[in-house]
Amino acid sequence: MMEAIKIGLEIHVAIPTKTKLFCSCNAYNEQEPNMSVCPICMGFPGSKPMLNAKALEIAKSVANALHSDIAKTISFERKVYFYPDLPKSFQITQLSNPISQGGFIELQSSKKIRIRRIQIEEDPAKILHEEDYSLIDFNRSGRPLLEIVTEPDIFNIDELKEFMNELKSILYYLGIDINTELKADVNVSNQGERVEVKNITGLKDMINAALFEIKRQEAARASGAIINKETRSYDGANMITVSMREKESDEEYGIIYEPDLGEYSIKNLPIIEPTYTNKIAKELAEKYSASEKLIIEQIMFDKNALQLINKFAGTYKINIVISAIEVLKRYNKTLDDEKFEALLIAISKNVLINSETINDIEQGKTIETSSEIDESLIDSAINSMLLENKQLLKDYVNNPKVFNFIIGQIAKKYNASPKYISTRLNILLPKFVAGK
Amino acid sequence: MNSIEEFYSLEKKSGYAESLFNDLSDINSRLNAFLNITRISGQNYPFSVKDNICVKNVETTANSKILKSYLPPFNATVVERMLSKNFDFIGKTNMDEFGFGTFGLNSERTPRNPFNEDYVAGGSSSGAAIATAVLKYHIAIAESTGGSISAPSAFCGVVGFTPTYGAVSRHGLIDYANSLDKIGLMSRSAKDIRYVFDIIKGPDNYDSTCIDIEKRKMQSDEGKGAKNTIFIINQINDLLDESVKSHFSGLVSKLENMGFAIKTIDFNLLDKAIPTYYIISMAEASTNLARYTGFKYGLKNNEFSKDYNSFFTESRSNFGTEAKRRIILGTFVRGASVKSKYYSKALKVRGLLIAKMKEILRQGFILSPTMPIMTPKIDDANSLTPVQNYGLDILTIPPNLSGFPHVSFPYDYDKGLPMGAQLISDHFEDYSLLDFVENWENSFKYQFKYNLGSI
Amino acid sequence: MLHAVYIVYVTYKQVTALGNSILLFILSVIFIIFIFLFWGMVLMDEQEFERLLHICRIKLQDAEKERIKKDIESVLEYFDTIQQIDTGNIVEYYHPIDIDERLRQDSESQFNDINLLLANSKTHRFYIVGPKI
Repeated sequence: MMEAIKIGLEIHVAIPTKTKLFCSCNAYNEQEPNMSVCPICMGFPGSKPMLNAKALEIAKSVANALHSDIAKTISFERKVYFYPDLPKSFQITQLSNPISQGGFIELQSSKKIRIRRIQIEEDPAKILHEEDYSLIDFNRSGRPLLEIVTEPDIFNIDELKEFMNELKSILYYLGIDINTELKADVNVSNQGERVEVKNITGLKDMINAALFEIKRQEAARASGAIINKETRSYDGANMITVSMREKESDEEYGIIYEPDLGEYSIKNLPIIEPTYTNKIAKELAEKYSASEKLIIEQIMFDKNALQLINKFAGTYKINIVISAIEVLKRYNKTLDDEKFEALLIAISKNVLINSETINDIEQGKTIETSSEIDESLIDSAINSMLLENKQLLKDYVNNPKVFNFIIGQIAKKYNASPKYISTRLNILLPKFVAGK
Repeated sequence: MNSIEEFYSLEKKSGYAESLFNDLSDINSRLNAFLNITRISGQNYPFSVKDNICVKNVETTANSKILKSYLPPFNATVVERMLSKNFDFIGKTNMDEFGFGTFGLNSERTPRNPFNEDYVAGGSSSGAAIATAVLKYHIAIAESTGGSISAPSAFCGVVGFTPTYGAVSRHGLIDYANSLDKIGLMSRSAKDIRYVFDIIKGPDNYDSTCIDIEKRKMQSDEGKGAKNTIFIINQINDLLDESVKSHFSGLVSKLENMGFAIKTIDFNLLDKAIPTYYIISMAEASTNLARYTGFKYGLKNNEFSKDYNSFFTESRSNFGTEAKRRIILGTFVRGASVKSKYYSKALKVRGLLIAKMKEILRQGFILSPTMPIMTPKIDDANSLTPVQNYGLDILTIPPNLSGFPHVSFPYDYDKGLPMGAQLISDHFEDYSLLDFVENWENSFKYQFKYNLGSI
Repeated sequence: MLHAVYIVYVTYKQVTALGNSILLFILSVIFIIFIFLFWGMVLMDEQEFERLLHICRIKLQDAEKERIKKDIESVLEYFDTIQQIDTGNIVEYYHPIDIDERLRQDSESQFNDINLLLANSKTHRFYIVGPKI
C-alpha cells in the first residue's frame, strides 16, 4: 500500500568535543562574540584545517548506535556557496565518503525508521540581521556537526515524536548535549512531491511545520493545484511554512575533494556502547509488570535513573524506586547507594517524605519507622474527615483541588506519605460520593 | 663554506646596512623585485618572502588588489622557522597575482630581468628571482604550483629548488592550488639551499599534508634512482626553440664528459600534462579564491546595506583579468554536469602521469631545458594569448603536477641572458638534486650583473 | 555550425536550381572546411555564461565580457584534449603522494593574537560587520 504521508528528516547534531572540528578553539564558548576564534575558523588566507580526532570517535559511536555501516576510511569535500556566515565561502563536509551509510532506529512498534547516511561537517558562523548590515559572530564557526539523514519512513506525527525522542535518548546516553535544541530539515510529501522545510529548531517546531505542510499539501491537492518539489522555510511566529527565494535553492555547489586533508581510518577508533531506552523500558516493564510509559519517562534522559532502577528494582517494587527517583529530582539531591536504600525503605513504609525527611536521610539519620502508618488508621482518618466536613464533599464535586487539600491535611497530621493517602482516597472518595 | 657562513665570517664596515638598503631601493625602483623593503639590519643573513606567504603584521597580498592592506596575524611556518634561526626578513617579493602567470607580468609593478631590463624576469616568483640575482648574500623563500620557481630562476640565472610536494609546510601560504602548491628556495648556490632547506622542511601540526621526506625516503621500497644516469625525453625536441636546442646540447655534452650516462627515452604524455594541470589547479583555485568577498580582510567594501550577493560580486571585481579567467574556468570544470569530464578525468590523468614518470625516475634523473623558448621581451610576452601562455609551461608542469622534486640551475648565457636547465628526481630524492647542482657548481661559475651587499 | 550548414544548404538549393556544378563543388569544399574548423568547439550560449559568472560571483564589463568568453571557450577546447587519454582503471589522484593520517588531539589552545585578527575587519561591539542578508 502506498503510504499517503511520508516524512524524512535531516538532523544536525552538535558533536560535544572541547574544540572545533578543524582548529583548537573552544567549540562551545558563547560569551563574548568573536572571542573563541582563530585564522582557521575565520577562514583567513594561509590557514589550513587540522582534523579533531575526538569528533571522529563520537561520530563513530553515533553511527554504531544507529546500526549504520561505518566506513573503513573517510575523507572530506568542499561545498562552495556564498553567504556572509560561511568564512571560506565553502563548507568542509562529507558527500561521497561519509562516516556511515544505512542504519535504523527501532520504534516501540518494532517499525524501523531507516537512516540513509551520517556525515561530519563544520558549522557556519552565527549571523544577526540588522537594518543596513549583518553582524557576524564566528564563535560557532567550525563547530563539529553530525548530519543524520533518514529515509522518508515516518508516516505520522506520533512516529515523528517517537523517532526524535528515541534519537535524543540515544544521543544523550552517548554524552551528547540534547538541551541545545536539535536543528533539522523536514521533508514532507503528502501523496505528491517532496517539499523540504529547512532549518527548524526543536521538536515542537518540527511537529508544527510537518502538520502545516501535511494540511497545506492536502488542501492544494483538493483544489486541484500541483505541489511542486520545492524548498521552504519555517515561520515559527505564525507556525507556517513559506516559499524560499528560488536562487537560494538553485546553488551550484561545484563539489571537489578537500585537498588540505587526507583519508582517515575509522577502524581502530574506540566507541561508546549505545543504550536503547525504549527497548530497556519494554524489558523492564515486562520483567516487573509495570507501566512501560512510566519507566521510559524516567530513564529516557536520565542516566542516573536507569542506574538506580537497574540496581534496586529487583529488591524493591519498581514503582517505589521510581518514586524515590522523583523525590531526588524534586529536592535536587544525590544519595549514595546506602542512603538511597534508606529512602526506598522509608517510602515502602509509607513515611511522609518532605524536606525534613530527606535531610535526615542525607545525614544518615535513622528514619522513624516506628510511626508506621497502617492502612486502617489512614482509612478511618479519611472517613472521619469526610463525615465531619460534608461541605468538603460538595466542594470536591465542583473543584478537584479539594482532593489535594484532603491529602495535605491528613499527611500533616499523621506524617504519612501523600502518595499512599492519595491511593486510599481514590478508592474511598467515589464510595462517599456515590453513597451521599 | 656556504654563503651564510661566509657572510658571518666577514666584518661589515659601518654604514653597510644603510648603503645596502639604498642600493637595493635604487635598483628595485627599476626592476621591481620587492613590493616593499624592510629596514635592513646588516647583522643577520637576509631572506625575502614571496608575497603570497604570510609574515605577521606585514602587508601580505599575493600581489592582488583584493588583499590590499591584509595584515596576517600570524607567520607562515616557513617564516617562523627562518626567524627562529636569526635570519633577517628584508621584504615581500613581487609576483603574478595569486601565482597566476609564467612571466611575472600579471603585476601592477612590472618585474624586469636584471640582465636586461627589456626582458621578462619570469613568474610567478619573479621578485624572488630578481632579488637573488642582484643580492650577493640572500636567500629567497618562493613558491611553485606549475613551475613558478623554475621559470623565473631560469630567466634570472639563479638556482631554483622545488622540493617534493609536502616536504615544506604550506601553513601561511595563500593558496593557489592546495594539491600542487610547494614552498621552495632560490639562491646562488646549492650549498645555501641545502642549509636553509634543512631549516624549513619537516612536519608541522598546522598543515595536515606536510610529511617527513627523509622518513618516507627510507620507507619507500622504490629503488633509489641511479645518481649518474640522466634521461632526456625525445618528445621535447619538437618543442624547443632552435637556440635553446643548441645551447642544451652543449650542456648534454658537458655532462657526458663529467661522467653521466645520458639516455634518451620516449614519453608520450608530456603535452597532456598541461591541460591536466590547468584543470586541477583552476578547479582548486576557484574554491580557494571564493573567500575573497570584501569584508573580514583585504580591500574592504563599505556598502553593507547592499544585498549580500551584489556586495560580493562588487568586491570581487577587484581581481585581475587572469584571476577572473581562472576562477570562471575553475568553477566550470568542477560543475556537477561536466565534472567527470574535466576535474575527475584530470585527476586520473595525474595518476597515470605519476606512474609513467616514476618508471623513468626509478632509473635516473630527467633533464630538460627549463623553458622551451629563449627569454622573451616583456612586450612580446604581453601579446601572448592565454592558451599560448599555458603551453610554455610544458617543461615545468610535469614534475609540478606529479609532486616530483626538481631544480633549475644556470648552465649557459646567450647575449648576456642566462639559460636554465631543469633536473627532476623521484619523490623524496630532494637531496640528490642538490648534490648534482653542487657538483655542477664546481665546474661552472654563475655570472651576475649585480652583487649588492658584497663585503 | 548549424548556421553554417543551413546557409550552405540554402545556397546549394539556389545554385542547383541554376544548374552550376562548379560552384556546387566549391561550396561543398567550403562546407567541409567549415566542419573541420568548428568541430568540437566548445561554444557557450550567453545564458550559460551569465549563470557561470553568477555562480562564482564575478561580473565582467561589457568590453571584456566577449573577449573573456572567447578566451574561456578556447581554453575549454584545449581542456577537451584529455578526453582521448586512456586512463584505464586508475583512481583519482587527489594528491601526488600519499598523505599521512594526522589527527589533532581535542585540547583547547586559544589563538594568541585575536586582536590582530579582528583588526583586519570592520567591527561593531565585537561583531564583524558584513553585508545585509
